[in-house]
Amino acid sequence: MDHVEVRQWLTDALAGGVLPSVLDDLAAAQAPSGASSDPAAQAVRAHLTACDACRTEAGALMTTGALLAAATPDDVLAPVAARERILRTVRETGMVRVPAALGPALAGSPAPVVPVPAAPATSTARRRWRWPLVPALASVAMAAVIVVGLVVVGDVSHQAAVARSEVAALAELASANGRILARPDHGQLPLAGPDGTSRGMVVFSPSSGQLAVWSDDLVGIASGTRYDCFLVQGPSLTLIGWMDDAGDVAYWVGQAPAGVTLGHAGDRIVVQAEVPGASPVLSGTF
Amino acid sequence: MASLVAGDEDALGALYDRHSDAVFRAAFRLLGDRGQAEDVLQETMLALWNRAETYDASVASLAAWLLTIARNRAVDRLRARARRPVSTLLSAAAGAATDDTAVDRLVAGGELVGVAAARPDPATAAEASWLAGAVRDALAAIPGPERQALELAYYHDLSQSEIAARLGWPLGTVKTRTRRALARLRVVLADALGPDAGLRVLPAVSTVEAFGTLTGGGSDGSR
Repeated sequence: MDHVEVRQWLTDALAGGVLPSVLDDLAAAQAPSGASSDPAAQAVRAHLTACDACRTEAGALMTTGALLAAATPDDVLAPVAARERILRTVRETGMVRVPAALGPALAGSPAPVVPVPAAPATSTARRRWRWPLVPALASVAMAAVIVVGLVVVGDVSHQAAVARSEVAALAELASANGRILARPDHGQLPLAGPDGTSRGMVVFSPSSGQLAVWSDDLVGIASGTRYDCFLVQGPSLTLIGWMDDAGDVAYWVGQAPAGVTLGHAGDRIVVQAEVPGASPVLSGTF
Repeated sequence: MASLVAGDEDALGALYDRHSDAVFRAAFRLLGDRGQAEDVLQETMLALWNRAETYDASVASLAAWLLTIARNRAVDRLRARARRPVSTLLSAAAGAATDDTAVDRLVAGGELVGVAAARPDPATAAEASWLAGAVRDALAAIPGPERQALELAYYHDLSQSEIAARLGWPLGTVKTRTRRALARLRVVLADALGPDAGLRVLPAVSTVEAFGTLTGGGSDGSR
């Protein structure tokens, strides 16, 4: 591809509202585990790698796209086709809500939610519950539900709100763990602190790209210190997300970034505070 | 929301219908990418389902709560994007963000937030509003057919073939007008926003050379 063809290719991607994804895909193709099967994308990537002028042009197109996006008019609508897919995904991957199972003792509680396995009781499902984390988290979540009930009875609304938030967060984490551990290809990666002691855990599924990262040892997260979770692949550092605060547990659950394959030998997951010069406080190598 | 907490999937559908457009728009304003905005919409609806108990109507409207979730997820993606090797390279070449601090500055300054921030401070909101207005003015300065082609493609997700069918233009004309609209937009925005906006056109193979003259309309072509 020559300069004009590359720029037209990138301009068409911008006009279609997909330029960032296209550039993400090109970036993913640079990663050790990535590859693009699209010959045009391969040609563009090869050209950009060697051409300073077209890289600059692509940067200017990204800026143009950001400006256009900022002026998005109010009549832009969510894609109609997305509705059923998104609602189905929420049904299939969201936490299972079983209010009746809590019994009359918690009737009227504002948080009648418990995390339970979403998959049928197959051998795979049984296997995942052997791991101590999930029942432990479920127990913590259940205990927190009871705390919520007690707090609400005591009419301490602020504490109830905090407890509700922590219950929901723990339930989200437990539910995500259950989903991931139910997948046949799931893996677990312990996270160690700087002194080498185990302080957290990653559970992941390479085929689905889902992962959950958690630790009960991130100092200061409850008071506002933000921690970022990264995937390290050789010299490449990819942000996975910010750790959420669930009381005594900090966690992140969701999809790995596009183009990333989890579980490659030698890749690392690290967590570090978002302050200048910070070093990883948690680290684990696949 | 009470029905949602009780696990009513119909309630989820109703809330999706009420809020999905605003959430999608907010994410798109931040990310400038239709697919990623759709992913953020999905993550926001999943968070709504998983964490409905945490919503407190006395603190914020449900719309503001959802927009805050969407914004956080979108900013996660912006930060991840800034760490991509190619994106970083491109951003560096354009003089834009190359690290978290720079991304945060862009977000805090409203440059990437646009009007998506759930509760921007007045200065940020004013800057975002001004920026969006400048872009709208720049679009208004583009000849009608070119602007129409760009807006249908970029904002309304119509393919070039769909635009051709809707407007009765040859496919090549749609391509040419869309590309030319973007080239004109860059020139107008570069004039309006100044040399630091990262919109300059390189002399080596300029946008004008690639897409035809920007003055006098030029030929629509049929490529």
